[in-house]
Amino acid sequence: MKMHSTLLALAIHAGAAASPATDRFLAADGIVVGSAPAVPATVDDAGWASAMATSVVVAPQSTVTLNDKGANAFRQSPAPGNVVVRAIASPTELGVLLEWDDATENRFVGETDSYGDSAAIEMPVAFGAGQRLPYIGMGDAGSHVVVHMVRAMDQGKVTTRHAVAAGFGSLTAAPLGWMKTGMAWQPKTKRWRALFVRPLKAPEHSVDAAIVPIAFALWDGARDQRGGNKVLSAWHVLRLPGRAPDATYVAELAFGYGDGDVGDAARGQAMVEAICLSCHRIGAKGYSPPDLAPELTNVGVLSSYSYLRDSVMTPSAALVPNLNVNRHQDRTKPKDDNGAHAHGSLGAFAVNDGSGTAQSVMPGFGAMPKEQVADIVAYLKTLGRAPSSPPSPGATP
Amino acid sequence: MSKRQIAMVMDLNKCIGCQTCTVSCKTQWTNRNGREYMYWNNVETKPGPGYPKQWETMGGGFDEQGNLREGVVPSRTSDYGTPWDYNLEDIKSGELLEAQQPLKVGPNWDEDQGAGDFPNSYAFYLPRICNHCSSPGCLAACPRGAIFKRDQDGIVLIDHERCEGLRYCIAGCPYKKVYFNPKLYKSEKCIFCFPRIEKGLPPACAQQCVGRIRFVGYLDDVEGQVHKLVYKYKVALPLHPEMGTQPNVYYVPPLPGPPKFDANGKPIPNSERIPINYLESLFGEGTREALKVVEAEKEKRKNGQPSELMDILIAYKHADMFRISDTPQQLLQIEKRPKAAMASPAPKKAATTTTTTTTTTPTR
Repeated sequence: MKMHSTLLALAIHAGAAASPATDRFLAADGIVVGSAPAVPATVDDAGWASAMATSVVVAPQSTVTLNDKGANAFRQSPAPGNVVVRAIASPTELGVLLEWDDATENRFVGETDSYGDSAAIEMPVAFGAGQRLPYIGMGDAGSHVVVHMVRAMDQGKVTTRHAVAAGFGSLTAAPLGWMKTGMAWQPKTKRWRALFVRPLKAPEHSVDAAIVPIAFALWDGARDQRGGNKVLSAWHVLRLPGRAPDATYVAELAFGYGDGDVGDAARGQAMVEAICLSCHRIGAKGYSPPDLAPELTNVGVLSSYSYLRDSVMTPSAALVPNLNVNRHQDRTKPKDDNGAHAHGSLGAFAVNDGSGTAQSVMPGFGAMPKEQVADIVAYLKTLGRAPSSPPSPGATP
Repeated sequence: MSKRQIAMVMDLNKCIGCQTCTVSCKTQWTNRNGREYMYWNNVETKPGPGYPKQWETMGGGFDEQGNLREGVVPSRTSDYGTPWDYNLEDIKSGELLEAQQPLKVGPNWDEDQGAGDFPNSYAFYLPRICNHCSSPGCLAACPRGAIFKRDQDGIVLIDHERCEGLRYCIAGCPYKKVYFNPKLYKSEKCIFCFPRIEKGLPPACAQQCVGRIRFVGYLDDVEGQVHKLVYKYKVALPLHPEMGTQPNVYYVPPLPGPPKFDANGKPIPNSERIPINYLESLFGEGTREALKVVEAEKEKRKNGQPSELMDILIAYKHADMFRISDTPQQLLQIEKRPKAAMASPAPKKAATTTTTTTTTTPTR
């Protein structure tokens, strides 16, 4: 059970633990995949009891704010929670079962303002040594993701969406029909279960590896959640049985769990407040208009240590894609011949500098002493972390 | 955002609220397949809550700094209103007419209600379609980049290949003119009858308008009546310009008369039955000047002098009111294209921005 692994990992880290960084990383961010002759075919299959349950922390997407008043009102009371993940691999298939608390069963009932509860899993198109993880919010231009989503529809039906994506707004439906899905409400426990079963080797995408990155997202229809209004996890890794992990890849992913990788959060906080809050905001804290830069309230839950380090030192290599730059007009510029306003700089995190690749508008802090970067990363990793709460009850199917 | 912009002007002094436009739109586009509740074209009574109910308070558009404002997604049952059934079979046997569902709200619930007390009550009609804005709130709100403006005419369309039915566009439109199709799980809206535009025809609502209140043409066509009403005489004004989206449907505001009556039933000279402040709240700061110009030109005409503006507003000929294709030759080419090619956009206009078409040959 990996409850609030981040806290745990930090605690271990502070205490100069003896175990190597990779062990700590796999304990914190790893999901042990069980082995069975066949993957259980339904959400209620007793076979799932044999799989280890891993509780993964999820937090609201707050990097960008969308424009639905109803959904935004619900965001004022963010509810960090968790999703219990079980996974089983057979010789040919991989199955991932998600289970999460939800006070109400919300299905899309054909109304203009009705939203169905939903869940999705995300995996990088390419992964392995030397391949950085995609941006958690549906990938980025340099690192694409596949996304599979289930949504609760009227009369017990479930809609499945398969897509590939390279950043906000780029999600594109893809015929990845080899992914089988299921979703069912558990009235007794008031929990949803969602199931994703796929071949280990599909024509477009293979997960036949010891270490497979994966992330999770949940949508609560009662909170008008859809699209960018959701809760999501950071990147985790599935640890498939019977395969030896690539030590180089694991070592790359394990940054943050080694001695000296991460510094002092208190010192980091002072620096973040003196430097980063010129452009970024953390809820009510910050000196800039909202949307000048990605919002950081939950950045610690949603990001890996290495992503946080890269985004400080080489922001263009850890780009947050633009949502929709038209959300902000530049009223100081003249309108075009038809009266259209030019878009402003707010919300334009990435700009094309003519080189063909988008560049971050954030200045890089590559010259900053490593110790200070480590302090900043230590503090950022605390942001949005769920308050300690007991593991989800009833986690056994 | 687009190279050219097509626009519509509606003369509210001539709208009789007959809903012929509504019906022509509904029978052409929204009587089927999840669109039954939608009115891409509606005619509402002002003052009044309109359609959907209280749309003017539902947010969307841009604030004074140019930032997209939050908005709400209306409810089909309580904000748009849905059709209901009557006991039509029973009335043959003498039963009284009764609705079969509880009546809460309908799409034109407050028709002709207006405001003010008799004998000084007042109301006017406001026909509304998508404004095909130059800076659309729906386009800005879409996290999927599914909404676009066509280069050749600025018509705002939703790409159903990209639409995921998230409905942020509905919250972002300050006019609430994007609708969610629950059957297709996609958003939909007025398409300015672009297949008709590509054939040189005006949108169905304009073609069918009994009062001939609607003018259609390109804003950069200086010979066109739309251009003259908007830029030359400045009598056609966008609805709620403060929403910051630069709408491309323009309205000639209703004249505030006839005068009010005093307690003895005598007309009060120079009184405004429709308060100008109210009209200003709808059509912005150009309202007073626009009304003055219309009044002055009316007087001219009364005195036997020529008035180009009055000639335009009288709307003698569809051919002059609708200037959509540049030349009949170009039109002919479109007609001759094989059927499969009709889906592609119309040929690019040579004229782009300030250059104008010199043809005086109307298209219809």
